[in-house]
Amino acid sequence: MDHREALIAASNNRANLNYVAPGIEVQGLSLTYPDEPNALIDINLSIPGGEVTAVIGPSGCGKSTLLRCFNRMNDMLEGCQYSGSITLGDLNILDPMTDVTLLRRRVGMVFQQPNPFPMSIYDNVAYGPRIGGLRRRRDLDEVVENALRLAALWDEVKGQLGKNATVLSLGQQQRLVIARAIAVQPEVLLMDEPASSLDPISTLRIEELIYELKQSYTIVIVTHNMQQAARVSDRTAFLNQGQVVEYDATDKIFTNPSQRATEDYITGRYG
Amino acid sequence: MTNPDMFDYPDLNSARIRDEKINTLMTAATGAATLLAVVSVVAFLGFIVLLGGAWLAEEQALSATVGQQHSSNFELLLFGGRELASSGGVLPAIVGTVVLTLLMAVIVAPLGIVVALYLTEYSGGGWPTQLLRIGVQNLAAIPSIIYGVFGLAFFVYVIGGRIDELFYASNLPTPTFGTPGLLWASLTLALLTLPTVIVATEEGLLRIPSSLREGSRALGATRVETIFRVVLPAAAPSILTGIILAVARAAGEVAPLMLVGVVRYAPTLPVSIEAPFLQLEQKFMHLGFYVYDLTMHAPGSEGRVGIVAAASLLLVSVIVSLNIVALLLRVRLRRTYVQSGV
Amino acid sequence: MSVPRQRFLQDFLFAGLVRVTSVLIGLLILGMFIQMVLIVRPLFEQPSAVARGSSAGLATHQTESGLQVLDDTGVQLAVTVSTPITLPKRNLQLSLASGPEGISIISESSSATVGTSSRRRLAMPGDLDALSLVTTDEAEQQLLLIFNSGAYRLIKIYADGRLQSGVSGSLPPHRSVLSVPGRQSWILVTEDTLEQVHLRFAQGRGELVPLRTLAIGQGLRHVSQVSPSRRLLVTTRSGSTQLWQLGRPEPATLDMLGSDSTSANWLSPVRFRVHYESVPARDYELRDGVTGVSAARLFLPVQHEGYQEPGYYWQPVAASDGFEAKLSLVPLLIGTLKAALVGLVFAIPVAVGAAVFVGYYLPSRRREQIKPFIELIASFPTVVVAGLVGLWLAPRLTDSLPEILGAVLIIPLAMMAVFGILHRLPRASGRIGSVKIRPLVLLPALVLVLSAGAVFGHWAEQWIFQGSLLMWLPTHGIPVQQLNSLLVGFVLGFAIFPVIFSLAEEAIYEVPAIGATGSIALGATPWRSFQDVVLPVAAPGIVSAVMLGFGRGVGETMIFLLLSGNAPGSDWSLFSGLRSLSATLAIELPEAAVGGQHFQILFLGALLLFILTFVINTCAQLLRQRVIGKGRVRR
Ligand SMILES: Nc1ncnc2c1ncn2[C@@H]1O[C@H](COP(=O)(O)OP(=O)(O)OP(=O)(O)O)[C@@H](O)[C@H]1O
Ligand SMILES: [Mg+2]
Repeated sequence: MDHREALIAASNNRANLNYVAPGIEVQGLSLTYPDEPNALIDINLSIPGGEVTAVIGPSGCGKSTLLRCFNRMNDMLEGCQYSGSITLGDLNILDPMTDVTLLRRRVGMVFQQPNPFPMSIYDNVAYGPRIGGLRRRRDLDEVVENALRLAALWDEVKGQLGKNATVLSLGQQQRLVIARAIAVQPEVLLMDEPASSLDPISTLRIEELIYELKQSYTIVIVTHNMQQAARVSDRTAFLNQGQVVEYDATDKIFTNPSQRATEDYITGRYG
Repeated sequence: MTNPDMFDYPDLNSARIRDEKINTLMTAATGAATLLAVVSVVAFLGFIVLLGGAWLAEEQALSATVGQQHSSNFELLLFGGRELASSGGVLPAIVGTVVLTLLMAVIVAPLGIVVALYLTEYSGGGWPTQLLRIGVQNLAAIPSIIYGVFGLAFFVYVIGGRIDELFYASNLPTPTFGTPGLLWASLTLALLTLPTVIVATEEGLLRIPSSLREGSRALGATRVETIFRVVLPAAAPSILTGIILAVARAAGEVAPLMLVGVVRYAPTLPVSIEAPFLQLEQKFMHLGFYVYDLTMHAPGSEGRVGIVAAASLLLVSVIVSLNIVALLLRVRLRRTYVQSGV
Repeated sequence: MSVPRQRFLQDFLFAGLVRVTSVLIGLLILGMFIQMVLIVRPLFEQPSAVARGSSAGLATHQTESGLQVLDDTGVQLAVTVSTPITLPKRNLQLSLASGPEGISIISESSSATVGTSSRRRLAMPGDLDALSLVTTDEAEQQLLLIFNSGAYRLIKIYADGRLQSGVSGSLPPHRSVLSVPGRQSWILVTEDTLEQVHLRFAQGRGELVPLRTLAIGQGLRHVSQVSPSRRLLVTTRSGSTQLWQLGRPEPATLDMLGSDSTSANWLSPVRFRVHYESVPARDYELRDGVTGVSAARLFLPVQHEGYQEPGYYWQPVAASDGFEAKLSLVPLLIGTLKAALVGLVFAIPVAVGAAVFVGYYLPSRRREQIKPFIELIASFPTVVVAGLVGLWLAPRLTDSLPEILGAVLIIPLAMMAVFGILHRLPRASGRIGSVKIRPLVLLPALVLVLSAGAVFGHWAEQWIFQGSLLMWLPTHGIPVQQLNSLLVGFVLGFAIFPVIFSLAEEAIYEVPAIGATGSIALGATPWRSFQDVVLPVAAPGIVSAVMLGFGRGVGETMIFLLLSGNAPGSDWSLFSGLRSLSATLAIELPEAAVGGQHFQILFLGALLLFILTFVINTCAQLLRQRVIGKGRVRR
């Protein structure tokens, strides 16, 4: 299916309250870096659409690496080799012939550090739609306003859209980055420790935002904060040394993990 | 409020394809520029090696015609012959270059280290320091010929003239030090390479964790003891790098020397095995100037290419190897710096 | 007790040493600038004179007109008709005679070694009585005959004493005529002006035309000229003394000489004697500002003696001492800037292109291999580069310019094609780090491409330029020299591109990757995210790199010396040679007399170069620092 049609379909679907974003199927995914041959080992995950999935695990276990596989950001790293398959709906993500720029419009990503572009707030949010070919000012205005409203930033910045985005507070910047990501209407939103550099109140706002968004987006979030994982996610995957130790409903993981390692990690006896 | 998700993207495909095309083009263009840059380095080096090497390997290309007694072009290059403009050959030019750069290194090393020490260890960071820093920064960007002009006016005429008045008055009006010579040339080059040494040393000093200094001070060492026992030894590789780079730079400079003492032909070497060993006031020959002179004045253009390439080969191989040594030192330095986890 | 004190002393002394040395170095840097200013300053100062004691009032050889130059220096410049003229430089004596066919000039050359003499005669119509003055110029090549009617005739004197009648015409009324050292220029003395005329050709006809008028405000009483300098001492009717410097529009009034002098006469080029009405004569010596340089003379078009039109000329040392020095710095500045700009044109595409590729597209690991390699060029001595290009490349370049142009033009096209193909391969799309450089694979292709380019260039030459570009250009009004600006610029570009590359690459690489990553994660292509996110931050750094590269080009010397031909010209043609400030310093400074005008002007040139690079460098640093500041905020 052509991406444009897919997008129109997604938009139309999203208008429909019964719309559920597609899920991600990971099968036999292994990944090596030049100096880290076991970054990911035989990962099998079935991430359901329209839900929030948390990925937890000690530092260096491969969480970010896994996340970057979903929109092929690993391609930019030299010497990174991977095998296995990841599918999003009917799209084979790891297929060499897959167009990564299109893929990345369907799978948005938010990073640990807020990274607004050195331009105005408006231009930041309009960036994605613009490179997608949206040119009409009225359309852009609408997209920007909606995205900012969805990211719960509209009320704070509506009078100053022309202001340079880099002068916003960190919490505002991170919400701006989320608004920027959802302005291109992705189906999946990847968040790599989105709140780790924020204060508690900003963190809370981000969590509320995730809750708001989860109806129409499939969200995968990496976090080191156990409470956060418990609060926002429906399912949780625990990774250790490049392997999935346990993957289950969040309630189950946090109340009654089946693996000893998971319990150790959650209760803080680990990492 | 309209539905937020109701936009379609009529131009998505065309915009995307255009972007892809531009990206391809720019990747290709910038990649081509890089390749061109790399190829030009290789080509230039290869050109010198091939041309110079071929000439050196040739038998008696020039000397046979005039009946000289050299068995190879290499000997001809070293000891010279009547067919070369500089009848002394390249050997005195090599000696001149070496003496000059060594003298320069001896002058510039302590000065550069001391200024770097001042900038990192002693200064309070006030405006005099800022001014000095700006001065040093600008020093690096001044054209080398200006150093020659300054060297001529200040070192030769002001200082040299004064020395003559005070110590060599009996020789006047024939100047002794009040004329271009080895000492002034090496001073000029020392000034020219000062920023190189300062910057490299400063980099090394800044890299040393302040805990090391504090540790030494805590043991009761004075500042000067800390500097000589702890700081300088730790920064030694950086300082060495700076000095090597300075020597490499100085060895290739010709323009300022033309004003402060290089000559086409010097009858005697500036060094000797008898006292006073070093004739500081003497004019000298120089490899770079030798290349210039051959290019500019030597007769017989076909024969010149080979010998110029051969002399260039000598000069370039020294300079390039010095640079490579400095580079390796720096890489080693960076590695230990990363390993120590500072 | 004594050990701690000694250690303390040691510490104290070393700190002092460090501080003092650093301050001295700082002063030395400052001193570089100040010293140049000090050397240059006398150029722009007003002249003054200091007394050298009074003289006993020797006879002053004043004739009735008061216009005859004293023979203190042994050369007679102005001679009345009655006496034969001796031309010492040519061993000639000229005398006038009248005969049936008019007047004749007899030249008698005598050779001291052989002891013989030969006579020649030039006859022309006219009457001896009507002849009022005969004078020659300093080079003793032209004889000026002036008739009472105001008519004049120039007569050329050949080395062997042969005479040839030349240009004739008429002059405005005047009291007498002085010859000007140099060629083909004389001064007409009137009641209150000195009118300098020079020979100029228009439409094939020569004519003495006014060059400049020196207005003596209060009326002229006495004028004295000294050889070989170009200075005139004028005593006015009110008794003051003026010092005129030919070429300088204003006189200097020497107030220190008093206001009741009757005449002032040169004793040597810097010494002169002033006679007064009431007191005995006194001797003086000139101090400062005797050079006659002004900003206008250095930077504006100047009408020189014997030149057809005002223009910019650099010829600071004339063949003979008395010749007019041509001191325009404009040709040197134009030469310098022209070559540096051409160098930039060659260097920027390669340097900035490579900087983007290495600093942005290439993964760090490869970057660290390639960057130092390219930077190696910066360490090549420019004398070697210029020498080999001058000896080997330049002759070939001019022979096969079209072929080489073709090859050079086709390289980027071909490389783009190659990379385009590489880029289109599956999996490569959208990857930043996937471009692998395999030069060995590309080399045969490169050779092939180069040959194709050369063939193409040859073909283009045949068709567009009717067989030969080098023949075609001159016939279309563009003279071509073998050592031309294009060649200098090209080699200069090679020398400065590592500078630009290194700094621009640093500026690009320093921009935190997180911004570009964010853009790419939104589906932007790598180039688009570079353009939108990296470039705005890196741009000042890139501009500053280009500026520093330009500064390097401006100050480069050896390439100019060996490849520019070193002929000063003030045109912007790419096919002509040039002379740069730096090369001028290297060539002329060793030979300039210390403290003389030439020496001072060269220092002015050095000061200009110094200021030029200083300004460029300071601007570049300021730009750079702003970048670094910005980068910190973003991180
Ligand atoms: N670009 C890279 N090149 C080489 N090795 C890498 C690279 N990125 C990550 N690694 C290695 O892969 C492993 C997994 O890294 P990753 O960043 O995915 O961990 P993480 O779980 O996200 O850790 P953290 O919680 O600290 O973010 C680590 O051992 C790391 O050293
Ligand atoms: Mg991570």
